[in-house]
Amino acid sequence: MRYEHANEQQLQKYVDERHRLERPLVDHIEHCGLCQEAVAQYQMLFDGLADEHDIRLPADFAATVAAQLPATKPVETTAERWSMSTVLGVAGPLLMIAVTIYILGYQSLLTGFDGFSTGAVGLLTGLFTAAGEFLLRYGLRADLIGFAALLLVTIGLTDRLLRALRHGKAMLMA
Amino acid sequence: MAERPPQIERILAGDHKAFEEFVKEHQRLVSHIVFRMVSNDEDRKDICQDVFLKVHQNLAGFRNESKLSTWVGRVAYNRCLNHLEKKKVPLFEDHCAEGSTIDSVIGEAVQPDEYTEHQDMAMRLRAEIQELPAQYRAIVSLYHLDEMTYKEIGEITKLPEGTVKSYLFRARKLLKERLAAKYQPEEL
Repeated sequence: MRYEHANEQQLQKYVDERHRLERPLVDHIEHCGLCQEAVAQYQMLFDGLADEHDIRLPADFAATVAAQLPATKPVETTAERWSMSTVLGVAGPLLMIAVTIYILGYQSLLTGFDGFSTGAVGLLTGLFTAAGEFLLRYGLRADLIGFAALLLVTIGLTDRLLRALRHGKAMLMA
Repeated sequence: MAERPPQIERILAGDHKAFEEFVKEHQRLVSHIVFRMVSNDEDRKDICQDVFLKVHQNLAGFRNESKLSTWVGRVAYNRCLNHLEKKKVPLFEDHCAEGSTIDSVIGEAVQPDEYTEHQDMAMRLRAEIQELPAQYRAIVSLYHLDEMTYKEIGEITKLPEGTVKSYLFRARKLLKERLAAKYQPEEL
């Protein structure tokens, strides 16, 4: 058995985490009157520290706090954010297709996008999504943006169709 | 990016009942921190409420990168620190540094005859805990009442694990010495 008494750190450890002390030290503490006295003091202290009788909130505390919540628009959830991102992600390419048809004609869709169009789709999709996210922060809803994009697509296609019809009619007349 | 728990999603969707449940789950931890760090009884309840309103306000920013309880604990701890700084209450250990002797500590503390109304050990201990610096009180509370690990306490207080261990050791040593100096063993 060792003859030195346990120091304060070891005494605290004996009460709190005895398994982490070396066996000879534990043996000493358990057979030494002086160390046992100090251990008893720490034990009493530790029991007292785990006492929470003075810490008490009113029984209706949770309800009181919940009642104070501001009645504002709920923060968007992950699911909502995902659906908004999806709408934006779909609306962006659609918008670019509409713009491409409007500028280059519907034949461009049949012959395939050239390098310029493909790059522009990517760029405009990114820009559109970023702009949409920015607008959303100010409360603009994603479905409105999607609707606006689809409206543009419809207008673009209708316009091209009418031009084609007019062109075809003029050819027939000639 | 880690997904948020469903309970948080419901709260963010504006479900006040879900938030009430959330408060019930965490009020014990928050009250431990606030009641130990703030001495003024009138301020305690208000601060506890503030903590939860702040938690609600910032809940959208919570990611599952840390434990929810640790995150809530950190909000409570920081709110208490702000309160104590405003009140100019000493927060750190220089209040009773390693070198301070037990005599000097007793000199500053309440005299034994003022304890006549203190009938039991628990009340004496509570009074002594209130004499500790705020940081010590928080750490002691998180360890002994909430059974948090050194790592979790470190995350809440933003202190290295070694410092947490050291503060905890010093706080307990100080408490033992103060109690032993003021009371006879049979009184304890």
